[in-house]
Amino acid sequence: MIIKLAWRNIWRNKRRTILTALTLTIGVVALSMMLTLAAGMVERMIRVATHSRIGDAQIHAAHYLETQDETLTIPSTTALLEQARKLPDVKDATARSIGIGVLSIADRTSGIQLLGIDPEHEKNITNWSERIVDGEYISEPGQVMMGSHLAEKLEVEVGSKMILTAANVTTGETTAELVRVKGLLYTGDVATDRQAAIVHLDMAQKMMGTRGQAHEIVLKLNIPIEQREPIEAIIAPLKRDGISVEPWQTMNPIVAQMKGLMESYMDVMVVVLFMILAFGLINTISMSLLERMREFGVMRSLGTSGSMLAKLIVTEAAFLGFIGAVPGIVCGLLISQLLVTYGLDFAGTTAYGMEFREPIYGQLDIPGTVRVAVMFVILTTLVSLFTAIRAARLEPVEAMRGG
Amino acid sequence: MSDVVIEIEGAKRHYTTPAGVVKALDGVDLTVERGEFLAIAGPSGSGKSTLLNLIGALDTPTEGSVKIDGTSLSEMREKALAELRRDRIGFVFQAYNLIPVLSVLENVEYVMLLQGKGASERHKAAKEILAEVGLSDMLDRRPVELSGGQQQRVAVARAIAAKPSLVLADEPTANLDSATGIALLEMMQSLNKTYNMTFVFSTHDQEVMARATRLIRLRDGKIESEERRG
Ligand SMILES: Nc1ncnc2c1ncn2[C@@H]1O[C@H](COP(=O)(O)OP(=O)(O)OP(=O)(O)O)[C@@H](O)[C@H]1O
Ligand SMILES: [Mg+2]
Repeated sequence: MIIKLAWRNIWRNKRRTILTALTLTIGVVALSMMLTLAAGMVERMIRVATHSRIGDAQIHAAHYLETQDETLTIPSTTALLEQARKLPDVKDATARSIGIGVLSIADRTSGIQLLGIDPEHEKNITNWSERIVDGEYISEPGQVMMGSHLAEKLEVEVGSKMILTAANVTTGETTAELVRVKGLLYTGDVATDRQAAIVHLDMAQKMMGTRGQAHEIVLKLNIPIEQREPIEAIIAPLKRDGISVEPWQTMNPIVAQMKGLMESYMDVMVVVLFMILAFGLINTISMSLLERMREFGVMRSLGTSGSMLAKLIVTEAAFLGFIGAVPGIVCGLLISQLLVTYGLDFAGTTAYGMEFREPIYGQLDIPGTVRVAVMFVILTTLVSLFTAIRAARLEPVEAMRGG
Repeated sequence: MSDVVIEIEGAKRHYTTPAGVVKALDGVDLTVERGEFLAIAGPSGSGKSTLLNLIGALDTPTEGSVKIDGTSLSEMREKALAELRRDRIGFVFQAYNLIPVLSVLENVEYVMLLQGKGASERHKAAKEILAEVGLSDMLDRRPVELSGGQQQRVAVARAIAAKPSLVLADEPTANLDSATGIALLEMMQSLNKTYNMTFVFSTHDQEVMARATRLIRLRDGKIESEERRG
């Protein structure tokens, strides 16, 4: 009966109910859109971070990450690489050699990071083969690929011949090789785009004197990689003394924390937005209840207990919350779907060492949206609780007189 | 002793206002027996409503005691008071008695619903009473769709539908034309006789007073005079 009464009561003043519910709907829609964008942003950041350079997990010699010492190559690279490729849920693994060098043409010179890759396997790890803006992906020694930024700085184009100089990591003896610019690329990873000269693994290892030994093995997995734990579980068998095996989160802790940061940020937003809405809500709810004090007095005189009256008032508020929140979920997700389909253009914005050249496509956060809506319903109910308790405590005769 | 429904001893109700203490009731002793049809008269502001509210446990006396069926109201908790109002007392106020979102039938059923009675029992009792007050063809109307007199008849029907032992009515006929008022009163009288229900009502109307079995006149919060009739 409380439900029937409550339901009828909220439709007594249709306009007021709809307006109040609408503020809640708009709140849920706004937050749903923000959640969608935030999720899309996080997903994009993770994808950019992993696809543009670091992969899903990496293997290095122990202490390599802290020291960047080029002599610290991974012991028995080949065996490890093969073991990694055979692991379940590992899509592929590739080896990289990393050193420093100099690229020059005519009187123009630039210090670079020499990055030796296995072109075939690298294709399965990073997006570089798809990110060629000019020329082609490298296939053999003697070719170099670099970020378009670096190419611009050195004033080279596809086909230019350059001198690549690198030092043997043990003897320090330098060698120079003639390389031809094969492709220009844009990976989205700022360090790679501005500093790396990407050559064939064999060439890099020959110049550095590290034949058969890589500095880095990069893994690509077949599972969702937002969480650290599932990655750890897959790569655990690779762990042994003298090498470090880490998920991408270790390599890019900022992006790794992004999801958690976004979530706490959204929680704050929910509360802030609700506080703004609450002023209106408290006003309408308490006003409509004050107008009905006489009626509450009559109900009390008929034997309605104070607690039942309070339940009625709270139920009305909960209904109001639902009427606002449910369309909020529906509209919020529908509008958010537009963000998923069409994206939002942040062209040219740089965040945390990554560029957003493409629009951000949202990711529907259904549980998040529902959670926001539920929070709104709960908060609306809480707001009514104060008036409910007051009305319940009032002596019937006081209520009859109008509170 | 079992015949005493209401027992009031030295009841006072004082209001403290900025202008001073208002003695709405100032020492009332009253005993009402089962089956009485008692009218409370008196000028405006004499304390009629205040007295009825005290009897109905809608208000608490500043001093003195009110007993219903032998139990002192001051000893009862809120829940017990709600049950007392629900099970043993029926109220009719001067105006705005009905729950606006409920239909005529639902309003009359409301008390029985609170009592937890089954749907068919409720329907039957409510329809019977509504037939008695001549509203059988308005069961599904909302209060706003009724005239003042019709609303009052619904209020009376509701007050008696659950067969309370005591019906309190605060100027039930004040908003009605005299013919309608008399009809309503006759209905109350017949219920009083049929079910031996006790009626206590306040009124300004001579005609209404004339039908009471006992008439009490209040003035300035005190009982000024008392007459027994018939
Ligand atoms: N809440 C209150 N605060 C202060 N004074 C009050 C309050 N309620 C009633 N009174 C005063 O108590 C006195 C008795 O009021 P009551 O309503 O019982 O009169 P009444 O006999 O019912 O009058 P009427 O015939 O006009 O209905 C009046 O003087 C009134 O002003
Ligand atoms: Mg009065």
